[in-house]
Amino acid sequence: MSRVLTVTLPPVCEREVLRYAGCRTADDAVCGLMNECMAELLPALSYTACYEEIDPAPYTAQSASLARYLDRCERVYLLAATVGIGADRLIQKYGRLSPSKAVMMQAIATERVEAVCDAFAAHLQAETGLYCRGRFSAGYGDAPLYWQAEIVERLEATKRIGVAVNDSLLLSPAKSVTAFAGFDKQKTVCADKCRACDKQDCAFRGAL
Amino acid sequence: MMFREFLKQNIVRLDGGMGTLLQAQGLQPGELPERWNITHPEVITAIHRAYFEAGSHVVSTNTFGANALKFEDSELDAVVSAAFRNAKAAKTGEDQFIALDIGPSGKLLKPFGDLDFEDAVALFAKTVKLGVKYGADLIFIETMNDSYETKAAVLAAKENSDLPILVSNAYGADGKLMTGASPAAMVALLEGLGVDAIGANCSLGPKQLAPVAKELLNAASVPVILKPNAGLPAVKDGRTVFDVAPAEFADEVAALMQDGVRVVGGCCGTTPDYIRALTEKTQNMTAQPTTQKRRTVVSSYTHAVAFGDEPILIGERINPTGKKRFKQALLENDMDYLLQEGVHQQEKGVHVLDVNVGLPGIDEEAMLTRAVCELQAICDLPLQIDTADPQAMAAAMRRVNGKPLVNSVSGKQESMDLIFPLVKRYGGTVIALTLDENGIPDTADGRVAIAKRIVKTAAAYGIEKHDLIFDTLAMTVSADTRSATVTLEALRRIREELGCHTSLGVSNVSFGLPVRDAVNSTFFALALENGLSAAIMNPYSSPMMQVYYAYRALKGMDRNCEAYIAASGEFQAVSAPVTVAEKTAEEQRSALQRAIAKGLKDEAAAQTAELLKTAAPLDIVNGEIIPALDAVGKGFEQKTVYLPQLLMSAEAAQSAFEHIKAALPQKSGGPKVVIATVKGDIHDIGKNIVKLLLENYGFTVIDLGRDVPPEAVTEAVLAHNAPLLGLSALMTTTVPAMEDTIAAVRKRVPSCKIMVGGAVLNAEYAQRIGADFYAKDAMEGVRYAETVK
Repeated sequence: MSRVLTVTLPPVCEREVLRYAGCRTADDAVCGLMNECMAELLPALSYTACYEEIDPAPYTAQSASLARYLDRCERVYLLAATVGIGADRLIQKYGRLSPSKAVMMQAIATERVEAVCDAFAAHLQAETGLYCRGRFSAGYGDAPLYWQAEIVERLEATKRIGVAVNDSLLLSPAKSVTAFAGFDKQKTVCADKCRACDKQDCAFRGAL
Repeated sequence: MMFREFLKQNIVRLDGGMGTLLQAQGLQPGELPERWNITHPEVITAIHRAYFEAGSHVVSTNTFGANALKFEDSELDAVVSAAFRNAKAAKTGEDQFIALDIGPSGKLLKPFGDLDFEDAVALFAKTVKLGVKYGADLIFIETMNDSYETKAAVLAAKENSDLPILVSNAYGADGKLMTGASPAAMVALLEGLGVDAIGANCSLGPKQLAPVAKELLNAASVPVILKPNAGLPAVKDGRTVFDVAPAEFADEVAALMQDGVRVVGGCCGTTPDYIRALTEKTQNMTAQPTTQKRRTVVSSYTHAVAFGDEPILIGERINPTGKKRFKQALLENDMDYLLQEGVHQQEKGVHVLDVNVGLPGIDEEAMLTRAVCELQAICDLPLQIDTADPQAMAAAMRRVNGKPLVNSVSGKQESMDLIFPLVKRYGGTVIALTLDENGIPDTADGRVAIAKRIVKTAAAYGIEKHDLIFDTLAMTVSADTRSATVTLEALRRIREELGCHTSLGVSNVSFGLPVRDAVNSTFFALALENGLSAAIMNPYSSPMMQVYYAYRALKGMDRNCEAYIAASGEFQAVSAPVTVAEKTAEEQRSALQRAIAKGLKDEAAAQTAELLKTAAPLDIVNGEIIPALDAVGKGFEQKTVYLPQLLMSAEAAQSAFEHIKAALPQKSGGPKVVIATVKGDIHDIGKNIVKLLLENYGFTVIDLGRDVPPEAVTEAVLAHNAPLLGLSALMTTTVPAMEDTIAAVRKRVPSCKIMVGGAVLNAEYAQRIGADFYAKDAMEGVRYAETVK
């Protein structure tokens, strides 16, 4: 049975938010928008994850990319993390009424769900004394996207933290993540998330 | 004894966990536990028997996930049939009952997931019918973490059986459901629907669920259920263990039974040992009687609103009567305008939104249902459904995510015979008008007499008087100067003699008089003093809001006058003189352009209103708004302006356009573009951005929303004779739907140009699926659209 983790997060990293919002720089108006959106959005979020240690063999047999990522890991966990349905409600509301706020709230919620995943990693690092090697999600490399549904089912994520998957394999709440997380005795010198990715034309690629 | 009777007089012990026990017996991850009814009947029967022997009065069949999403019809029938056979075989004595267990579908309902509400009802209905067929004593709907899905399951149970219905929700550590409902909101919804017991299960241990149990006890008039986990799970030596042992579990649950919890059991991690401990601890306990709360309450998907001494404001602005712009929006299917009205009224402080979309020439049933669904997706206020069409009323009540206010019933027999059955079926608090077949009595006596008759008839339908709110009808004082006093007297007497709550459509009183606000707000104050519980009113009226805040301050309802002081800033701002008028025309022009460039909505609107006094609307568009937008658009293309800035400018321009539209005699109507997010895809922010920019550039956008099937897109393109279609898709899994949509449109409307966009697309891919153009962002979409017109 998966375990549920409710986390408190460090303050929002505004630089990350601006990156997700597609801003290389921010003037007063954009900062004002960001602050206004944070004031409304953050109270509507709840940061939870559920996870379970697994034997990854059935998965690594199907995906060379996953096998490479998990190579020599001591422990492997399945993870589902979310900031809750409150983000969807506000993003939908402003998608209709004020898309600039919707874009900014998307960016903030994305930063927050990443932070939930980081908090999960920190929690397990403390518990196991092992180091997290980042995350690997369904759809990365040769890993099929339908694993998303299997992970949700396996973790009972719908029952535990309210994360469901639809027929198109999209997660609801939208700001949710499912992933494999490998933990290693060695601390991997983790390259910048963006540097490690080979999608060169990504709109959100961080400044290199 | 039948279960319903048993529940009335006794403490009821349910069973404990099933899943954890099956895993211990070898159920593999990913294996469906319900199949074990067929493959391992002896295991299932043994578990049920162990619970009966431990003291359970009720065991729940192993059918938590037995629904038509997971099983084909024939297998579903076999699974449920076997589940009941297994449970019946486990019975060991008298007063033992078998509950059809119904868990969540595993899908999230629209608009945030992809399961339609009616599909959810149909899904649960299949399982309910099988439960009835195989001999269930009651239906146990459990572990639901969404209020809307809970309502779907309860409707399915009500509509397909007469069995007792127990409903238990899974509350999180914050004391709310995943989708936001508080315990009080769930009680309002579920008591409205007439279920037999309401409670909480799963997610947490008894200690952590205690606050939820207490909230349920405070609100509920039916027995309260508590079925917690054995604490929280941890992994020890590779096995899942729970941190609350049977004795401790029994102590904690028993303590809550002293507070009034009547139906108890265990969820994840609990075993027959836990139930045995609970039985031993509580077998000499007598059932605490339930207390009738008799509260007048409505609810949304998050919270309940109770009518009491504090006045409740019901915003009246979602109503086309006398509003040209609103009528136009309805006729054009422009839901955004209606949503805007909802959100603005909420910002002004109303507690409930009245929703009226009655207009000749529209399908009111469809429109009202749509309005309710769209409003409750973006706004968490309870809704008052306002229609004279009983069919539209029924459809909207069915889809409300909460317990609505129903506007209205009257003392006419026909009206009561139409409305009360709906209230019984879907739940609701009804606004009852004190008029009957003979019209509106001109004395308070006459109106009170009608109210009494309504109370009596409602009771015959099983509706208690706390679910009625009386409207004693504010009449035009200019036609009869006695009318206001009669209304007020009737109001006071209904509150005092009948103990019922009251409501008024306040602004009728001033019809035909100048400076209506003065009359309305004074009447409002008088009515409050005479026992008015709620007002259907215009929250944009400063004098009305002043009375509201001042009344609360004067009656000791506003600690340190805090709310009054907070609101007073706005009253002053309203009366402050507008300063823009002093600038020269030339300065104003540049000021409007500056406001758009900086993305200042209110400023852009104010500047436009001012300019309209001296300039022609189209001159402002061509000379001010378009050049300002173009400059921002070019900046975006050159990457000196970023997406949020582009959008803020676009929104500022839109607010300027609202004033222009109002000033133009007839809408000019630019070239049409149909846009949609394709079937299966529910992420539509990109599409919304494109819509905003296209509208800025003068296009008439027909927005079909998200998750739109190919046929609906084709129909819309044909119906509007649109030369251009825009489609968006976010995921690789939804691009095939885009391809299908393009093929469908090409077949019937080959002349229509199609542009596409979305995260996973590129120009090459777009060409491969048959699109005419790939727009990498919204500005490119606008530029392409300009070449098509």
